[in-house]
Amino acid sequence: MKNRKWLAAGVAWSVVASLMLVGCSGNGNGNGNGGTEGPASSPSAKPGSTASADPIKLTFWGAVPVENGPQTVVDNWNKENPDIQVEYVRFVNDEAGNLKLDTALVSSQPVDMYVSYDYSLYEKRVKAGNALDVGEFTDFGVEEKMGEGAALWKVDDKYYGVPTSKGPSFVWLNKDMLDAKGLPVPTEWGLDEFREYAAKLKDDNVWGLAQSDYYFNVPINGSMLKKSLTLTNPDGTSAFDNPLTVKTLQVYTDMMFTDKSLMPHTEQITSKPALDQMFVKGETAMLFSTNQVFRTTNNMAEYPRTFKVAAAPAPRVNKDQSDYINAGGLGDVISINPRTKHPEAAQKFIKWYADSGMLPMAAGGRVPASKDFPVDEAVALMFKGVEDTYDLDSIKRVMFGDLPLGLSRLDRKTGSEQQAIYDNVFSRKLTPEEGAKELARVHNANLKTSSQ
Amino acid sequence: MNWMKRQRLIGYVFIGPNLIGMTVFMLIPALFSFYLMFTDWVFASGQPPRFIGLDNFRMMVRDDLFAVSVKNTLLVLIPVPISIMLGFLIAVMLNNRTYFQKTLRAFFFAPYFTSGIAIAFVWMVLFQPTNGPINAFLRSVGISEPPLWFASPDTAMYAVLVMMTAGGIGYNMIIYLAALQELSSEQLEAARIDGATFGQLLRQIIFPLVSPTTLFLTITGFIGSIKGFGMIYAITQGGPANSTTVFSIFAYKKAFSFYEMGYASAVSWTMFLIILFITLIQWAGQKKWVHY
Repeated sequence: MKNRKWLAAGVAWSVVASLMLVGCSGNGNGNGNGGTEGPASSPSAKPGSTASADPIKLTFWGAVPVENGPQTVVDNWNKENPDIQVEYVRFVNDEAGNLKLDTALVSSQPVDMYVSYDYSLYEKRVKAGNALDVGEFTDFGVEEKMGEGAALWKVDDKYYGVPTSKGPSFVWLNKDMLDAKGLPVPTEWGLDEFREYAAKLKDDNVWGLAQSDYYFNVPINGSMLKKSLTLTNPDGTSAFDNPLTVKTLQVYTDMMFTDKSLMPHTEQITSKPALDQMFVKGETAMLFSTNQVFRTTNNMAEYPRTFKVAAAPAPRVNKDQSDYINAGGLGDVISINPRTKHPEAAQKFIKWYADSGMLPMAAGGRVPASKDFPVDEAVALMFKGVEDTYDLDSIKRVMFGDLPLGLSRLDRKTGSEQQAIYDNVFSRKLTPEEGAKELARVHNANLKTSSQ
Repeated sequence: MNWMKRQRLIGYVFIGPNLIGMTVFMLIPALFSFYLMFTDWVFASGQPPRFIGLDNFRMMVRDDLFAVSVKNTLLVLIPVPISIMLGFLIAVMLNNRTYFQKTLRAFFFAPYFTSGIAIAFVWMVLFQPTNGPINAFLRSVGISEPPLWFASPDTAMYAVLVMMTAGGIGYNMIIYLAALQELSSEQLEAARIDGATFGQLLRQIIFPLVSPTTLFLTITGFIGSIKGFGMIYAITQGGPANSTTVFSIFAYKKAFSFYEMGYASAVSWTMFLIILFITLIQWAGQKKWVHY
């Protein structure tokens, strides 16, 4: 009886001890020849090489699913570089996933390189000291490689990461449906023409248009971007309350409730339809989204389709707007963790990735940004085996053309709070005029808070 | 070592694992959060926490979303008494000889052991405004413009309340079934012999006798409702237009969308105080209606 008590207690303590050891361990990479330094170590990167013959191990965090290119990229690198082995770790590019990455960075878990997809998160990571100044590496000029668009990613006039891909948000078109209605593939259009197309393409069980959640902010923000990346007036106040914002909100309201060519916004965010699958199944004639949809349209095995896919640029608010900036530009910024033990190895990987290594990512729609990248190879790989299912002229015109591209630096808090205002406008609880004023009010409140 | 000391040691050894776990994963984080609520700490900013006194609470009181979340949190208390009542009535029905007794018991209890997120997605499909079966039925009976349920700020909260009411019935039913089976059959027999109708039996004998169970379910139900997060967040993320933002979602957004850990800690501790206040009221009120 006494022995059984002690046995039971011993088992309980063994379980506790095991759980604590598991919970307190890293992610299995260890800190042998790779990994990152602990928080007590100096944060500055020191050039140098390890004396050990074991390969250097680096971890590379990104949000692209493993099967959409990153694993092939990493496998190719590992084959060519047996002395530097890279492991890809995927995080989901949502709040929880970015929190996971930020937690890993502050707790010195093995993160040698990571990708940022959003400027405000990237800036936060830079200001927290979690990104190395890539200017220290003199053999890689970011602007020389990537063009002027890279300057969007400067913080305090320095680069703390390398933008590696480019691509706009654009409108995916079911070309067969356009042809059936006698509609040409648009090369430039405004919201009025966009609405007209959606109304003509709408049919039984077919929406004229579907678009990613909250994408009405694309034409709204695009109309302000040229004047200010932070979407403010010259006096520092919010620029949201303007006629173009009002027009955008009005057109979308009409599409949802008058024409019924677009799924009502609040219905979409609470039903969570898979928009890319809706598009390939022919349930929507147009889809306003990102180039990530290539993952679905290129996957004829799981998502077979019989129609041709064409592309049109994102609509401006007014067709004749001369100062409109399309949402897109350079992105997928790879930064080096200052606590990495092997900054040169990391930089070598990033340089290879940007110049040629990211080719397998093209099939998932990630177009390399580097000027040294063989674009024709990327295009060929992007449409390999499915060339006949695309209207390649329109795709190339949109993706590789000379549309002015840019990304806003609107802070995340404002963007998040403005979502509630869009919800109210598209529930018809606010008029478009009231909505524009509210968007500006929320923005101004956050501008005031951040300046204090 | 004398016998008493030995017994004490054995006791500590047995509660040790649980105690360590609770200390490491609950008590220490709670104390850290208590400290953080007086600071302006932003996670992953590279800046240490800075003491700001009660500024977080002043900010909270002026925050429009705080007022909305308080209102919504009080609304989610409504399903608790409703699901307790329904659980009680179903338990009474199943406690007597009923056709398909075991099947019905399993049917009502099933939502309790099913994943909350799976249940939430089922409700999302049921309440789908255009193609969902509930609105299809409403249209078939002549309601041409049925509610938009989760898709409208005006009706989203009602849809949440229906979902929460339905979700609580099974658990309440099972607890009441256990309580009903403990009741003395002599008392009920005596009441029947004295001419009590079924309604009188239910109101004046059975319900008072299970009042300790009712108190337990009320307290735990209110606590669970105020803390409720997963099912609401899975469908609406607190929207549309913050119409379903409850305290827990408000705190979650402040902490994990904006990394404002100080402010989120203040919100969380305010939530704790509200739960404590409501529980104390219930505890004090038990003298009036709970019969032991």
